[in-house]
Amino acid sequence: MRGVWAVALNSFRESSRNRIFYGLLATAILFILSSLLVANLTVPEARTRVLLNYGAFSISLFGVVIAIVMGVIQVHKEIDKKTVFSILTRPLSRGSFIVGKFVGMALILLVALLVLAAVWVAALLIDAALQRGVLTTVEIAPQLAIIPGVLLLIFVEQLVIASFAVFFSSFSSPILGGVFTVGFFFLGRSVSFLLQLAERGKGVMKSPLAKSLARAFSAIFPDLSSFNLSQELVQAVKVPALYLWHATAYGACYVVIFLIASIFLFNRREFA
Amino acid sequence: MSEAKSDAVERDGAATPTAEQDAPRESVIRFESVKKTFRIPILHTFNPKDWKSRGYRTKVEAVKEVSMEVYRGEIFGFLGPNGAGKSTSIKMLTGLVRPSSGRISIFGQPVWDVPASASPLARWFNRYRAGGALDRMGYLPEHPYFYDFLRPTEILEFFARLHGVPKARRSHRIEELIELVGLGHARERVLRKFSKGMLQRIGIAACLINDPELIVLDEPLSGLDPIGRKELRDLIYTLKKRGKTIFFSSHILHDIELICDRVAFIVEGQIREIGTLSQLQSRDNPLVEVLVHGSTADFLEATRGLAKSVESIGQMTQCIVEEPAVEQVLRAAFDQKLRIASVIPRKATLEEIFVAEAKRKEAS
Repeated sequence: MRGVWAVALNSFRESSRNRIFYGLLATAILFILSSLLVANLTVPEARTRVLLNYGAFSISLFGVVIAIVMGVIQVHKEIDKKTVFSILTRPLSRGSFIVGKFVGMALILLVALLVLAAVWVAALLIDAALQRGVLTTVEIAPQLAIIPGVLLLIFVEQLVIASFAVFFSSFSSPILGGVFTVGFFFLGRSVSFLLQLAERGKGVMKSPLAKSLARAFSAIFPDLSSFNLSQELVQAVKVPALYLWHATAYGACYVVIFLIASIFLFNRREFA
Repeated sequence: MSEAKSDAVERDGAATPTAEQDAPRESVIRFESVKKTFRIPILHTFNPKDWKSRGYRTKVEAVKEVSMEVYRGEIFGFLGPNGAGKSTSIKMLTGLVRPSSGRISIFGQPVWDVPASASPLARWFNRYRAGGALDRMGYLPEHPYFYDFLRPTEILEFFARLHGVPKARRSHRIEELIELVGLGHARERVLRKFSKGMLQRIGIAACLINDPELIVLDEPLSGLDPIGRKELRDLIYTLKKRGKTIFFSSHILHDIELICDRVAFIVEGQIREIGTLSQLQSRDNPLVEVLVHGSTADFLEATRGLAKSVESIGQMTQCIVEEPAVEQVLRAAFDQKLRIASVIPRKATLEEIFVAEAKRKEAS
């Protein structure tokens, strides 16, 4: 455990000084703040909806990008630059190293999420104040109450993607790992849609092969759309705590599976 | 430098067999018939135009047979030409590469087995390595590289945490090491801005963070300037005086000659020679340097088959010959009426032994 925490802290420290991270974070902040301008183009009734949607989408999108970029780079860079030579020759198991890298990445993702969430909420409050001339949260109070749940599931989704990126970077190149992780994200996001199409049996999904494929995908890949609460947020529908727990546990299962697979492969690697 | 040389001479003198040396010594590193074969993906070497000749390789024998022991308190030099298997052997020793067969142990503990007493979870997580011995070892890889955006104190703190150095002792130890490797002036600089030599120094500090009993250095002198090399040699010798065991590989034979108690030559994955410098130097016929004023074509013709090397140095001709051939070379000089300037017995340098070993292997 001592080793896991040391690797995690070191990984967090290194990532937090990486310019790529700051570049992505700054772009995400600009993106969220630009929602204030975009909201001006809509009808007044849709203002809050645009701000909520835009913010949640930005946090989710940039979080995923940070998870993919950092996840793919993290382990591969250690091997490529041969820093693993100095680390794995210490009393530290390879499993602890992989888990430590993942925890470090989770910390950096958490920091990014909290910063972006703060900017998002600030944008919502600023807009409310500008519209009504007074700083009040009364009108957006129902949505604000849902935001912690939305952020929790965005974070869980990022962890699932990050664990998949770590899995790939433990045995392949960053480009290949990046391509596969992006593919994994899109597939994960469309699993439930594919399944719905298969159940309805329309269009190309009529054939039994297509149906079987859709069912196989949904059985293997995580349904990332279950972490997406943007509809509930916009409509201010309260999300049951049980759902949040279930979704978190669902994501945690995939994280554990991907990390075990990463450790399995990393244990067999030779660093010649 | 002169101090180091006098130390080396002193040790070399002490390397002659004594009753103390005859006594059994504690083995710190032991390689027993270690072999390593790397598999090459067939697509990397397969030529579809020439598939019938089966000229493609799927395996490379990096280490064919290595058996050696390193004893407590000695400085052991590991020599060999490029691609001889030095780094692979060191990586097997440090747990980065798994041997194909054979056994490696540090302080009597196998590097690649996990004790049966370990819990199933620990066995799975540590599947191929026993970590216990690694806590007593420090390793400096060839061309060490660390995280770009960290400072020297931060990277050393990281390694100290990995070794479980208590918090109370950590900062004192880090400061001590930073001063020891002469990086006090660069304490606040990030490692990205470090030169190759500075990275080598921080690598040495990282290697010593746990105050290891065994220090394994892979090409520690490469990348250092002459002053840095002298400082490192002095440091290695100081560590030896503190009872540490040092195992290191190097291409800089002069340095090995100055500080090593024993050396091993590895050529094409096989250990060719192991011994103290004096043992290796006296292994073949002793060499003699014959220096003659001037030269003639007949003299050169006469000495060609007798001397190991014949070289013109200004007005003089230098012949390096084995002791039994000295008389014939002198006779050839007398016959040509050449004046003898000097006849000096000469010990073979490590470089000459090294080149001779490599040539012997080539010839065989």
